[in-house]
Amino acid sequence: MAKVKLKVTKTRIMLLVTLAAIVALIYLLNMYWPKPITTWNYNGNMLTFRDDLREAQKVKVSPDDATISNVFASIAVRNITIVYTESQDMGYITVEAGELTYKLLTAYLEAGFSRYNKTMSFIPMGFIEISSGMVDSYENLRGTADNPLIALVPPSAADETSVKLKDHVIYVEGKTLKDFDLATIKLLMIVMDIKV
Amino acid sequence: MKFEKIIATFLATIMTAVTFSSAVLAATMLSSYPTFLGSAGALDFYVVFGAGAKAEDVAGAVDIMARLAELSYTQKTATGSASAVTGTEKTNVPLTGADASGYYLSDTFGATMRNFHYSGLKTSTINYKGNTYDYHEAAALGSLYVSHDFTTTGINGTNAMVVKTNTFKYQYVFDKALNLTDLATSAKTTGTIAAPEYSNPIKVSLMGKDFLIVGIGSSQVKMLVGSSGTATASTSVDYVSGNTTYKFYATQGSTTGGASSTGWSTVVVKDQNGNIVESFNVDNGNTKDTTKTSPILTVKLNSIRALQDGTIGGADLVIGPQSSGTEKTYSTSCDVSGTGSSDMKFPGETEWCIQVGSGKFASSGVAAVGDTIEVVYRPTTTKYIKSTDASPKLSLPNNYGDIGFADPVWYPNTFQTLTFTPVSGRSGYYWTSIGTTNSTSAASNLNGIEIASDVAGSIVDPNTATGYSKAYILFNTTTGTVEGTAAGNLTNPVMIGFWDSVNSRIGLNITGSNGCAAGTLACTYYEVLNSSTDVIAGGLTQWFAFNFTISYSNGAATADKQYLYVNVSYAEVGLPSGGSGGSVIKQMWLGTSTNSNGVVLNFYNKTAWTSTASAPEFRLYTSDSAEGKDVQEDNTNTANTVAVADVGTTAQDVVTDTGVIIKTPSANAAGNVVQIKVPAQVLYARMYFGKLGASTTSTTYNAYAAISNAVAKLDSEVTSTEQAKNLVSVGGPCANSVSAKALGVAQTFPECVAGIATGSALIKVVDDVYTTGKVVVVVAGYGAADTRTAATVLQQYDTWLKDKTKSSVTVTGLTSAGIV
Repeated sequence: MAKVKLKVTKTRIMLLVTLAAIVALIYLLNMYWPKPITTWNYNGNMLTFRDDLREAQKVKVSPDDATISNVFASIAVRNITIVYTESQDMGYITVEAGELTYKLLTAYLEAGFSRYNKTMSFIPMGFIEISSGMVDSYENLRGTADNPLIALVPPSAADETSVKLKDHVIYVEGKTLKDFDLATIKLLMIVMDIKV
Repeated sequence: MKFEKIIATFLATIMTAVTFSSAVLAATMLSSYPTFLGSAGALDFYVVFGAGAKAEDVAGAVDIMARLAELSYTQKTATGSASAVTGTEKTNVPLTGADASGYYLSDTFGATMRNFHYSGLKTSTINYKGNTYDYHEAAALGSLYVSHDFTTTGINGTNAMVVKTNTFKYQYVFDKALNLTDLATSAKTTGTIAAPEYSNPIKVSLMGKDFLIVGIGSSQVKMLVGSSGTATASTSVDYVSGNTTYKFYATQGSTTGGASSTGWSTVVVKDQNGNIVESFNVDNGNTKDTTKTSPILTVKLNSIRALQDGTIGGADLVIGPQSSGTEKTYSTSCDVSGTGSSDMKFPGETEWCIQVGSGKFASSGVAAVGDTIEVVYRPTTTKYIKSTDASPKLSLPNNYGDIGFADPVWYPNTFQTLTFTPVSGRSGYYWTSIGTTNSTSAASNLNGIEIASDVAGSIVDPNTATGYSKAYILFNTTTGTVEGTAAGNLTNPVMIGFWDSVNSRIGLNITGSNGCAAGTLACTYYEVLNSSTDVIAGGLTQWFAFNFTISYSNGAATADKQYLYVNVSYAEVGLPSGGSGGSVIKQMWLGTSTNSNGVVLNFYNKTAWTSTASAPEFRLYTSDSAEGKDVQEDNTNTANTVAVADVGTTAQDVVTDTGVIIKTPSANAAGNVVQIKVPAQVLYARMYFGKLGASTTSTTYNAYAAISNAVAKLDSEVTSTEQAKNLVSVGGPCANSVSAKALGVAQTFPECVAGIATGSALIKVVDDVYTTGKVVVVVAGYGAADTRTAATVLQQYDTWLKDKTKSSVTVTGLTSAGIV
């Protein structure tokens, strides 16, 4: 059996060490670099969101999370109306409206805001009714304690990306379609008390 | 060749037809919307929109999505609950007692119910001329008792509360003396039976009904009956008659004049709508009958109310039916047969009357401590209130309280049901260990009786303490060996089997037979009978006996166990009707350790038991139809005497002295079956005094389950993941590529509106667009407003689509007649 001579040069050693360091760095980055969070265990229900909760967490809120949360947590709430204006982004508005409808429904039913009676047959919506409607303008909107409004302001009409409360109207604005998703998610995070 | 072509063409045509017809037949109908969008409580769809959706599409889509949330659910069970009792509940009312008639309820509840038993009975005060006087209400149970006497019509073996006339009483008791004569007027001459005090009567409330005591003495009380109060020109005294309320006003009058020169008043009668019915004058102290009310009412004016300035403030009126009058004198005995002024019935009742407690109200004009007004239940015949009645209670008048059976009526309310059924042709297998058999047949062609419990482990082999769901008493012809000195004798094997529920086999132990020592385990489960005399020695024996223990889930305490005693006799191998006069099963009793023959099951062999040719077949008593002696029970009658009752032809459940319930004997006996409900513990009735709330039964329901996925999608977001599910595509083909794909049209105008007329919308279920077995529901309007209308149809599908047995519908509008 012929002997194989393995010549270990300084260059080769350096190369191997460098490669090992790169592999270790990639591994560590993969381990600790924050990944997008698009699902959340909400009282045992694994909810899927359209975008990263971490990014949504950064969306600007006015006046603050607690004040907006109180609007939805109020026992006075009976209806929530999602409003919007005619725009070129109606498809996106529809998608966000769908997200809000189902996840708000989940939030309210988990919180016990249900008119569902155990001895009765299923009532699809909870005690809180969620509906939608078109408005002519986002100006001068006024909600009430028992019927707050969620105004979906899509990129074509938005000046910023934010979730704002004024006169019992929660404005969900996104400067881009992604931002629109994030703002919607931010509102849901506030209502569902999701903190990442 | 030509023939082959014809055949091929024919077959191809058939195949094509079948293919198309199958598709048509399998088309998903709108009437089944939205069930095909869900699967076992989980959503199986996405809602898809075009990026260029219209504003109306948004609203429509939200409506649709909100409604479709109902497809996301989990099925849960709401556990039922027993009814709650306000008052006193007793769960230990025995079925029998040592009392003369049955079991007196007073032995459990106590003789008298008061406020601390049931808050509906008041302990309070009344006010008379500025002073308070204590009183309390009570209910005296008297000799109310429970019985399950089989021979008494009205009870018939059910558990019943027996209410004899003049037994159950309501009592209003004065706890502080009130001298009416001394207090009513300065003259102190009124308040007696002869000189009633109308101006200042004592107002009492008997079971919520107001009465005015105007006279007392000689064990009598004189009271004004009916609606009473002070009427003015603006305040009425109301009398309710059915759905009509008559309002009596005193509009004017005088403290002088009238027949007695003590005053008069004008009384105006109005209906509940304020319409004047009639008006008339009534003199003070006198009565006047109405003429236009129904029924005719008598109005008694007891006092004129004058103000300090002399003007008339009002009049004290008592209003009651003319037929019974408004003033009654009650003595120590009443009945319900009197009429007119002798009508002592409690207002509105036919079986309750008012009387004075024995020896009470002896002093003239004085209600002394302990003086009692009673309302007595006086039915003309004894009442039997069965626990199985729809309303198993006796109610006090004016809905003041009840005494009766609670819901559920039994305590404990946990039973197993034993079913006794003749069987034939069964096979038995050898035990390999306790409770486990192998597949080796031990005996076959066995006839006998199967005893099955609906609660596993409740039929217990007392020798091993092992519980089984079924047990058997089985008879054979040739199995077994003649032992001892009796070779050549006829031999008749009998054995006890238990059900191996794991292997679904009857397990037998036939290791013992003649010659084994009496009382040893070897011959416990199996015996070969071969003697007509009761001889054990020498291997001959006439008897075989086995005692099963019946223990709920094999966990009952000793006192709660029942025992099934079985005794088989060789002497009766012939037919019962063949002269021997009995059955091979001599005794089959279900009883307790203290009363072995609580229930007697008379399973007789209907065929002879020969040792070589046939095992006996069984039925109840002597025919296949229900007979009284099919089933018998020990029964304590209302004379407190125990007698055997033949209950085989009784339709309803029969309660026995030993606390088991024979279920619908006649219905079961006609099929030669006996069913007996055996309680988990010693059985008691659950009874109450007071009010019974509603009980709830266990129900299953669909509870909303969170929708975890982002269900709303743009058409540009639809990938193979979405295509693998059902899709609800909102918006026409012009704006939604999924709609275009489903409808098979281009997205360019005008092709994209082909098939959708101006001012209309299409709702169409298209099968197998992307995935076989999945659908696309297209909601496409010519204009956005049309789409919105179609979305409303889907949101309110149970109104608009329930009868649409087709896969598509065109919507131009919605009217009361439906979709147009």
